[in-house]
Amino acid sequence: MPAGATYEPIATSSPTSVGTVDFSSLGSYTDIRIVIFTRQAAGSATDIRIRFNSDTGTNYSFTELYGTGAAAASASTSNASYIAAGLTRNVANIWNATTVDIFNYAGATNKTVLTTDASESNGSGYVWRKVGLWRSTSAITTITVSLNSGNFATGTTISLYGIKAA
Amino acid sequence: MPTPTYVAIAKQVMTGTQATITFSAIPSTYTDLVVLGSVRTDRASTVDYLKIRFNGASVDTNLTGRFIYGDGATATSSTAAYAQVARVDAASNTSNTFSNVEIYIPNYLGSTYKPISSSGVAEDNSTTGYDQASASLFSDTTAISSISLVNLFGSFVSGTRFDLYGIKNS
Repeated sequence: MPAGATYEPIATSSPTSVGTVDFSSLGSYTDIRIVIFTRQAAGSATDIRIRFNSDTGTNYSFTELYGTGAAAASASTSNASYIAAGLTRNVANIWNATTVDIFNYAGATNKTVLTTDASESNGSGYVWRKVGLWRSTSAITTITVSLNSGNFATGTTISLYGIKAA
Repeated sequence: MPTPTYVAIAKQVMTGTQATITFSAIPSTYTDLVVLGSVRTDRASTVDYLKIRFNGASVDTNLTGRFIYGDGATATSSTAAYAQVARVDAASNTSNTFSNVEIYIPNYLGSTYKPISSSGVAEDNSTTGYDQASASLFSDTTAISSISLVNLFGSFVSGTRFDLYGIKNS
């Protein structure tokens, strides 16, 4: 017998002329997925950043595996003030396909995040996987998606989905 | 109460050898598409390369790919003049072993070029496992109405399965 419905849309933002989007009223689920379809409106390549509960302290870390098409590499960042979910560029018609999975977001343990980021532009680009950590036992009640610099290009959509376990 | 999404649109289950599978007449009622696959090919090797094409194309026009993979010993990144979405099991892998593949296509109805994010894993308790993440691009502003999956070398074998899902945001 199937369980109740899961993977439900929570909210979608289509930002224009801003570089930060906040989501609140997350609902009651087990996990949350964010799907980010974006590119940068202007300027140099910049991080797509994730924060929780408006925490701008150095309570985040992430480890990444990435490929440029020519080289594969891994790196880690400790005591950061954000989790880097990807890198977006101001290249015409080239959009990021980025997903962010936040596990047990309402739990009383530190919060683990898995991100994938794809940006291919027929000559340059990269593919990224990252695991992130927010060292907080507080339930996540708000999520901030932002760019390190510049604004999201018009046409960007950032969608939240709730996934409920049986 | 939010509307459920991640809706099953169609499935393709191989009962024999088949070179290409196609999902056509994809509804234009979703925001994103997801393809999940359990994949093995008949190539006489320990690996084959799964490719994606769109809108009835029989060649890899307007498709490029960039990927990173690990084989248990090293990590490598490379590119392709086609959309290589995963490394998958082939005929020389441990029998009854199929690769897992997930392909995510956001904004498939949009009038921009289409980015594709995918991952595939192939593990067979031998020396030929792979974990690959790919970024592909369909350099076409036309909405996607059909998806084809084909291998660089072999054909899909019986037991291979693909499922297509639609994701609708709020």
